[in-house]
Amino acid sequence: MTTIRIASVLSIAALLGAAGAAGCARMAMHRLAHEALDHSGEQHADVLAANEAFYAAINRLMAGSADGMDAVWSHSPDVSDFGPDGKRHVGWPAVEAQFRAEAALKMGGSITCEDVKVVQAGDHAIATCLERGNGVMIDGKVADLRFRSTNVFRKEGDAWKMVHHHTDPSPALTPKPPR
Amino acid sequence: MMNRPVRIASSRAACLAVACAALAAAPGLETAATVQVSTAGTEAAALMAANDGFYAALNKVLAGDPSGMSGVWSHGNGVSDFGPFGKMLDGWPEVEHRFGEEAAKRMGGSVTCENAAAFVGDEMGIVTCVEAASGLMIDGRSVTVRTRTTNVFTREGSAWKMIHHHADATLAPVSRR
Repeated sequence: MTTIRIASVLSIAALLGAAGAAGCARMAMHRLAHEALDHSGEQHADVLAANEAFYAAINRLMAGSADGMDAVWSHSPDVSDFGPDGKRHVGWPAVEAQFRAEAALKMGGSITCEDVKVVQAGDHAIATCLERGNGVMIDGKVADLRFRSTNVFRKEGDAWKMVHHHTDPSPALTPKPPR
Repeated sequence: MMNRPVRIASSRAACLAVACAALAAAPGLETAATVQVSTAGTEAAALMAANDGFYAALNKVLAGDPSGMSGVWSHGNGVSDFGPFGKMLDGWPEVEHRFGEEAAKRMGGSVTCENAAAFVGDEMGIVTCVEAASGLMIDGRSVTVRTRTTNVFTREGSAWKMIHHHADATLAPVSRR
């Protein structure tokens, strides 16, 4: 098992740049330095790139399109999404349907993934971070979104695919009980 | 690696991460009970046993004794705990300290880990479930709550050791510490 923590945009930019990934500047990362960036560094870079691709897809979703999720996620029946709606969506068709429902809300703004920490062991890896919403509109108001996030990836062929996403529930997005 | 799929109906474990709270059981929480999960035969059983070990230790914490956690968790630098009080604990010393604080509260009650599903890799395993907590005394009131949970384990020798726990922040707002 190896662990890496990302502290600065520059450090992650260098790491992802080496892996050929792009768009890393969108991630705001604070905690410092790479711990144990050893022979598995390339794997970590690939996991970070997969995590970055997920947040790029999330930001497309905020703008109204869920299309980016298709390439990020495994399409296996065992995938699951514990999203901010407080529900447990299981299997790719259910997960995809939930993302399309969220995209239809056209919430706008953006989501950043801060204080990223990656742990990779064999064919699975997790990336944890603090998700922050910026300018996201829910029910006509700017929502203060602040979630801890656990993202799980599995190596499928040559690619790291997302198989599980867990973010804290948002009161603004949790279904209200019927009156 | 895609392993042979099997079903796990529910974990026998009892659980919690120290106090789950006010999130009402939302529709959809139980859906994983009938979903196929990736397993690797006996490895899945070993992983679920480790998960059960965590919930046994957690119930001891509720009763006031944090000593069970040391054998359940990895003590490496990859450890983190996102518990129901909204904190982001990093490293075994912080995690151990927090379980000590929670044990001191003697919240009582019990927690079970229901409708578990698992991803079983060669060196990392992940268990998801719904923590059902009841009878916890928090701030003078009895709390009953169901909380979505993700538990992550890695192999250390022949044992599965916990490296990450994420329970929905249902008892307090999210904060870094």
